[in-house]
Amino acid sequence: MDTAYIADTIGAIGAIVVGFFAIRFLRKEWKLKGADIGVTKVMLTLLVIGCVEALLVGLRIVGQTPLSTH
Amino acid sequence: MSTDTIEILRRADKPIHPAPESFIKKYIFSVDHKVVGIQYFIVSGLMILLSGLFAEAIRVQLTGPHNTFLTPQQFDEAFTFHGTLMVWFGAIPLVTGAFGNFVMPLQIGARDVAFPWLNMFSFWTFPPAVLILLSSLAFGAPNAGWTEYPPVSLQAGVGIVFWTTAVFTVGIGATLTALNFLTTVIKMRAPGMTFTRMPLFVWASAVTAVLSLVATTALASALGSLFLSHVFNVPFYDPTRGGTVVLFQHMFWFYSHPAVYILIIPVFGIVSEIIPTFARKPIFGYKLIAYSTVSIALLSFMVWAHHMFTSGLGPWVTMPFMILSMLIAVPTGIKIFSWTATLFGSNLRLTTAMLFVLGFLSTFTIGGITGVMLASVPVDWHEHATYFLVAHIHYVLFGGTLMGVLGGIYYWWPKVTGRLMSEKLGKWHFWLTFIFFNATFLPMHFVGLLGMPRRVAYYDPAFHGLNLFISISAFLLAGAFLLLFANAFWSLKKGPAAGPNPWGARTLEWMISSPPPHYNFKEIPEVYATPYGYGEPLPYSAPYDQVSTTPTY
Amino acid sequence: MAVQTEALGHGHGYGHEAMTQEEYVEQRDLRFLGFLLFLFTDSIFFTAYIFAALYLRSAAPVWPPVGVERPDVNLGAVNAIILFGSGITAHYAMHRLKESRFIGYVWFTIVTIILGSLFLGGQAYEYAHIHATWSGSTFGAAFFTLTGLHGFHVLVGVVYLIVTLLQSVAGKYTPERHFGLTAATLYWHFVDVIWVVLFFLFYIY
Repeated sequence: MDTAYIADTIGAIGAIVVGFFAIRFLRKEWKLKGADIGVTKVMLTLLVIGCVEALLVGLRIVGQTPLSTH
Repeated sequence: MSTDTIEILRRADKPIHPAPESFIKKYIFSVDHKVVGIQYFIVSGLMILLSGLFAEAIRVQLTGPHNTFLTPQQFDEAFTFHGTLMVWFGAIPLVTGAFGNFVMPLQIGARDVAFPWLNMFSFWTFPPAVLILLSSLAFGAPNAGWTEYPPVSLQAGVGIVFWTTAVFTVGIGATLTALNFLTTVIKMRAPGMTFTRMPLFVWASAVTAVLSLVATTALASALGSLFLSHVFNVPFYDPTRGGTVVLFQHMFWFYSHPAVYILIIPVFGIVSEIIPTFARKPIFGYKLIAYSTVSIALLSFMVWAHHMFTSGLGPWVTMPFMILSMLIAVPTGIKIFSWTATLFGSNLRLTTAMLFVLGFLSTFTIGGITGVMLASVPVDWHEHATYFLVAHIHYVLFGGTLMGVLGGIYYWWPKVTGRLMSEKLGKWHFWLTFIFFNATFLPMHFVGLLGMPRRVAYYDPAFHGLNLFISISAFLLAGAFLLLFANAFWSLKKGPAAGPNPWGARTLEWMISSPPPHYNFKEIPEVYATPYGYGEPLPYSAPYDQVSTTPTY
Repeated sequence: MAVQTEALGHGHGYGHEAMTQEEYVEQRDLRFLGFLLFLFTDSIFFTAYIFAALYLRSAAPVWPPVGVERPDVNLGAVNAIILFGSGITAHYAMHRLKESRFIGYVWFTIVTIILGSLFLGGQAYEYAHIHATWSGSTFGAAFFTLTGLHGFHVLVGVVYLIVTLLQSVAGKYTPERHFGLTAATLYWHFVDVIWVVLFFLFYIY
């Protein structure tokens, strides 16, 4: 099988799993207060965005253009 | 997390760190903010002297249009070292490391900065950086000016590697100091000292800390890329491989424009302390001065490209930068007018410190006005890289920063050493400095407008007369500084005891003995108002409200 | 008259063990603020290079320049997920310690360290197979400088986690006092989210 295909599958599934846990943590911490929790919330939100990126790559929606011009 | 301020560190039975016993812990690897401040003062003072010597070498070369005192190569090295030493190794450590460290914790009623050990570490990045920089003199010194624009800086020898390493190292110390100061101001103010009750020097220190926290790291990235370009041949700045040299100018000036405010904002703070003390009046527009400091800091991040008007950015880039640059004159003007309004109708006491501040007000205003001229794109196209620019920066940095710092030295010297300086010598020092400063730098405007370019070892014989005059004034200006050293040595040997509050000032550092004891405050005072309420009772809890505010000098 | 402040009694220094809980909380709050400011200033470092990368991109007619290829986006995504996953396990480890479940903390930290090292291995693989060099093109310059800087941060983070693990095995951290761990976890999150930006910048955009 094509290695890119395997990588995509692993990436997409991994993105869903990691994203799921990140969102779960975010929901748990949402109501808590405190400076460290606040920073963690920001970090976890960005992590969810990262998982969306990886998922879109895995689904071959983005990242397939070898050259971009502007 | 839980509290906004500290409670336990303020208790009388909780010293931050034990009093040092050995010589090394007391004077060399000291964690006491006062000792660290004095260490910064000594090293940065030496760097300013060294930088001054390079400046004098430049002036010796320029006494004649085709002088052979220095080769063109040596001349380039001289102005590079003059600028580098003055900005990063002299003035910035002096206004933040020395004045900030000694005065700021005392003024907020703290026993030390938030991280005393880190403070010591910050200082000890400084001497190694100096050694790295000076050792480059032996291995092909950098010679592209203190800005080190590529491609010229990359064509020189290995000196640029030393230069970037040295400035990077001293930048680490500056960033850690900023981090330390900001934490200290946020967390360790005395109870009751809200932000709008802080002395204006503390406002200035905090704003400067924010500036250097953002800007110094950006400089580190610019230095890093220059280092990589030289050592690993990375094509950031090589047009033949798609790079562009303008990128360096963007990265460099994104730091270095805020850096000129890192140089001047603490001096605004020093001036704001000295003026009400000797005018014996509450400062005019306390909040305006404080908030204009903040707005200057914000604006300073949006004006960097006004150093690059001649780099071919195009009108749609230069126009907004021109307007924003001119806008900075508004908050600066608010400060100047507030200080003048404080002086208006006051019973002014013309001590040496006050004289230097009056000198600051006049010369810095001239520098500010030429700054607005240079901010205008058409004028800048004509004046860029001429002596007009050199005159402007020296009116702002010598007439502004250094003049204010000299005022600060005369003002806080009795607090640091416990002894008074000679007012008579001090006044001689002021008048000689003021006269020869203007004699040196005012004619530079004229030769600049006539078209004499900076950073060139030879010049048109038509400029000879004015240049000779400038050089002679510059030698006499350097000579005036001997009076400061004489005064300092005299004061340390024979100066009369200052007492706790010789000027009759009202900020917290004058409420304790001179020099301050190891722990500064046995009991942390409570603060009820700004310190500038001259004519009112002291706004501190007992026993700090018992101090006499009658001048004793 | 000035207020005389005679020397206070010699303190006992501030070892963690000697502090009361209130003292510890106060010191922790100070250090936390200092650590946040450090992360802030570190992010500026990355921001400046990201600006440089975008500037070089805008100066190039095509991006990446002719003759240069981007790294393999599919493998890059897998590598990114490994790093993002390690952020989750680091978070778990932190919670296990707060809940006094020490064994769980140790295992999750070990998994985090392994995932971090795997990410570094993946980066090394990428460096070996990418059709670009550091000095060959502006894409290479931006890519290797930024990912190298990030890789260095990951390496520091792995060492940091190993050190905190050893310290906690030696009994330094308790459910009430674990600032060193909070800092390490925050740092690890920081390294993660930097990669969110860099992954977008070099693999997708």
